[in-house]
Amino acid sequence: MDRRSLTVIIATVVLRLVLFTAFPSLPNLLTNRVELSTPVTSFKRLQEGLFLYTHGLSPYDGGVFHQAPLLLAFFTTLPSNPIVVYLVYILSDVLSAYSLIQIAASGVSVSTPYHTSSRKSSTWPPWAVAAAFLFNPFSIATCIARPTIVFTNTVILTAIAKGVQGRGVAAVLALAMASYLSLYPVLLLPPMVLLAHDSLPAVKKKGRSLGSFAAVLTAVFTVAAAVLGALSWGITGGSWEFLASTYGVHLLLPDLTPNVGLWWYFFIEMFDSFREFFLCVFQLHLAVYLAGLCLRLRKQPLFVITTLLGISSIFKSYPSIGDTALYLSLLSLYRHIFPLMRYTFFVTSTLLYATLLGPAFYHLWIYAGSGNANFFYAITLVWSLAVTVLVSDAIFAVLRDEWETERPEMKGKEIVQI
Amino acid sequence: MSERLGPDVAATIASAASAAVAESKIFPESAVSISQGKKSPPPDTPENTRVRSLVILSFWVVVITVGLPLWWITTAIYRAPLPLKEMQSWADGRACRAEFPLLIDVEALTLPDPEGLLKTVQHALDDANDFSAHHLRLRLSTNSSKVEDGEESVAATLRLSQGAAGSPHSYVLSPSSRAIDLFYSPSYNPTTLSAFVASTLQEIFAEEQQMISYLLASSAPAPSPSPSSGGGNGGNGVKVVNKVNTAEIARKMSRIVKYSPMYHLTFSLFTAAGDPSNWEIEEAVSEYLQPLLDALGGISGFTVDSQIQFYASLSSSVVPTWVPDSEKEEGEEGEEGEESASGRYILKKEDLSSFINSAEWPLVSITSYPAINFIIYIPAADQSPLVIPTSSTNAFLLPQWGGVMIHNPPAGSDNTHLTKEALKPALDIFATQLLSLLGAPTHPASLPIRLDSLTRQRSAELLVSASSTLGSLYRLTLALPSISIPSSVSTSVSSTLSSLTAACQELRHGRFGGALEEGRNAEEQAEKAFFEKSMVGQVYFPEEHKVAVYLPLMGPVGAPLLMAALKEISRLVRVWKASRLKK
Repeated sequence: MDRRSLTVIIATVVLRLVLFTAFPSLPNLLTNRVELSTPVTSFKRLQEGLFLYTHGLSPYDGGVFHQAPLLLAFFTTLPSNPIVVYLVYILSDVLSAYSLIQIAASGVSVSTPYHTSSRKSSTWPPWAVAAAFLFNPFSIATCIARPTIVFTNTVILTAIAKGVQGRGVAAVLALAMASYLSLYPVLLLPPMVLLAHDSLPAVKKKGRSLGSFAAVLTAVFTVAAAVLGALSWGITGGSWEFLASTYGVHLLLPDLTPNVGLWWYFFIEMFDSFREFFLCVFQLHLAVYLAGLCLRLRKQPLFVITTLLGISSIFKSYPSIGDTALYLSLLSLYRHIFPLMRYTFFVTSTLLYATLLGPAFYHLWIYAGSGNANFFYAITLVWSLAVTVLVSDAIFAVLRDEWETERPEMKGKEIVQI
Repeated sequence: MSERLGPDVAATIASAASAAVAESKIFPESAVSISQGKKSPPPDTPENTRVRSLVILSFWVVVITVGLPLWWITTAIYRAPLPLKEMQSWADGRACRAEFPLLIDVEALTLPDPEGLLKTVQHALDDANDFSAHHLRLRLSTNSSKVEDGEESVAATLRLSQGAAGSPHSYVLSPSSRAIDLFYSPSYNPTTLSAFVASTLQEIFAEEQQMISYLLASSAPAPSPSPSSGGGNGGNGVKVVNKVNTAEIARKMSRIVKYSPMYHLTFSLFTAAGDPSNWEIEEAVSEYLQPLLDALGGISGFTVDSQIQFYASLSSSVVPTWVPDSEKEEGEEGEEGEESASGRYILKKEDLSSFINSAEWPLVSITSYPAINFIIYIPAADQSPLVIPTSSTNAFLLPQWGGVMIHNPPAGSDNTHLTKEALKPALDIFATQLLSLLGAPTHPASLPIRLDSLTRQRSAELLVSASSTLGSLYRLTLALPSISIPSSVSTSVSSTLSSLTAACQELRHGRFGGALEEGRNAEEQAEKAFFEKSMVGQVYFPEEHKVAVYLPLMGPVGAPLLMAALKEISRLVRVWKASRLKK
């Protein structure tokens, strides 16, 4: 890690500490924001679960807590000083930044064994990528609000960092942890296997076909997930209740608290008899992109992971700003394709628009009572539209970049649909 | 890094080379297309084409292998199997031919040839009976002390004994037992005696028979004009009813409160002034009415409450008219006040229908079962005495609702307190009204026989009503193939059917108490099945709504998928045609 990266990290640690301590009401204010805390990540709900757990009750009894049991075990070992909790969250962000620096330093975003971008030179240096993550207001707000999505993001970034280093087993173990924490990262397994395989040193790669490599990693993932499940089973006193209360909530959406996603409003309005069907459709919609992206972007598995994270930040059951922050920070590794994107201005302004109007409309709906649920839902639609345009525009830019590498003579020319 | 880049570069070069090769191959084609003046897209590399096909395939594989089965499973309508045939046959009245065999014990200790008499009477009864479902069966009682039969309930006991010399045949009904005491004249003629016995029995059970035949007839959907040879009870019933006064029975039936295993009785004292301020209703009810309620206990249960409402005004449309007394003796209540112009206020018949001031009088029931209201109204001093000229008891009955009695307290007496004794006439009237609201026949003087009749009537009513509910459910499930039928409905229906069958058996064997019990269960289960919550919600979901549910979501997702698949298929067809042309 060079000096600049260190400076960035120290600066952001100081910034977060200042925000935590100089504005004592800020953490609680942000914790209550539905944009930052969802039913499956909320810090408040975590405290409720902790309270029940430390008093010897099942943490899932109240129907409020929907997070993984290992988080309980982790938080009960911490001293109850709030500063310690702040430090844990800051440390988690620092680890994320460190993983991002490792990923950026590996240069996988511009050159893979099958593809080397012709715009290689215009990437950001690692410290800039880390800064783009650490100084991102979305990341900062997420860190201050202390949802457990912070840990999921850290683990996902760690998995990617291990993946680009070719350390498949470590990557898959981290991914198992991420899936354990919030289920949807399980979709990243296939591109992660591809990424780890592509990044293997040539010497090691020789004897190992992709098939056997994938089989081994999948087995490791399954065993790791099973071990985590068994540990949770032990922690919650030999009950499988946590499965229904955590993953069941992700899958079946019993809690319709508003968030930035598209599910809550839709399932409030849905006819009861079609609820199960549309739950399946929405879940399937998340999974359907997996194979297509892996096939089409086979040359750049890291971008597949990035895109899948972007898609799930829009379409998963309980998305929050923290998911978008993770996508944006991974996208900053692809600085070289930014000139190829067509809607950057539109996306930026729409994201800002939604960021500013979202809280205002939520206030109008919930507190002022002069608006209704449609106000907030409309703004989450705008937000999702912006992220969707960004994701598809980034895919377009990456494909164009691949194409220009194949046909250098077409560089800079307008494309026309015939 | 550097040793890793080696093969990468090689691979890149190789792929570039292969791309160049591919391009050089197809160059002539594009040249041709340019010469034709049409711009065609630069051809894809085979690698790109393959990837595109795979990507499209990957989407379709998920949609078809996972999506379609999920759609099938999650939108499948669960329809529990219902015994439709049985339900229909019950609804049509074909499943059970309800029979009401009434057993009558005959005690004839003094008669020389009781068997012979019985035979002739039985013949006479059978000949006279048009309604075969309801028939009387005579049995010679062997042991006079053994009146009650454990197997079969005995409808009545006929005690034949010799009357005073010279007197004609006569009979006496005891009001509190099932015994009919028949006194024959000592100089009797067997033919006239048997005719007298037969007509007596017929007379006693005539009203019940009419009611039951009316009930059963109303259940049969299509009464045939002439009774069929098969002797369906519907056809027979209609004939009987036609013979007697149908309108009279219909009027009687329209009074009856719908059957319920529980009723709530509310006794209300409405007084137009501030007094009387208390009444001994609790004591009065427990003394005068409770015995009747206990006797009715086998049919329905009762809960009782009471209330007093002061300054209860009549509704403005009810204006009693002042009628001066032309003769002093006419005053029914017998109270002649100090007023110089004596007379009374009378309520016209039209006033009675709007007598209950439902806007102001608190008569709302809070129980889940039906309520029957009994009201004592005490008019104000300036409207007293208030009289209903057509009623000797100064009371009237409101069909399916309750009864009202107007009580004119004797003038000059202490008006602040209504004693138990003062309430007795009112409660006696209420008891009569209760019986007729519940549907007990008015005719025989014996209460046990009337209650037995009521039991049989109610059993018939429950049987009919449960069967018709089954019929409605049957038609509903056929008319709306898209509603789901939860398994609870199926359970309820089979429970209804078994109860109905059991009730039918009990009736046939003359065990009417058991029949009522089964009928009650059948009715309850049938209602539960018909009003199943999850079924009712789906009734109002037309098929067109499905378009509105599927299209907004499936349209945007489905259109690109379909277009891509179509393009891919047309490309494959073109390739296939080209390869055939080459051959």
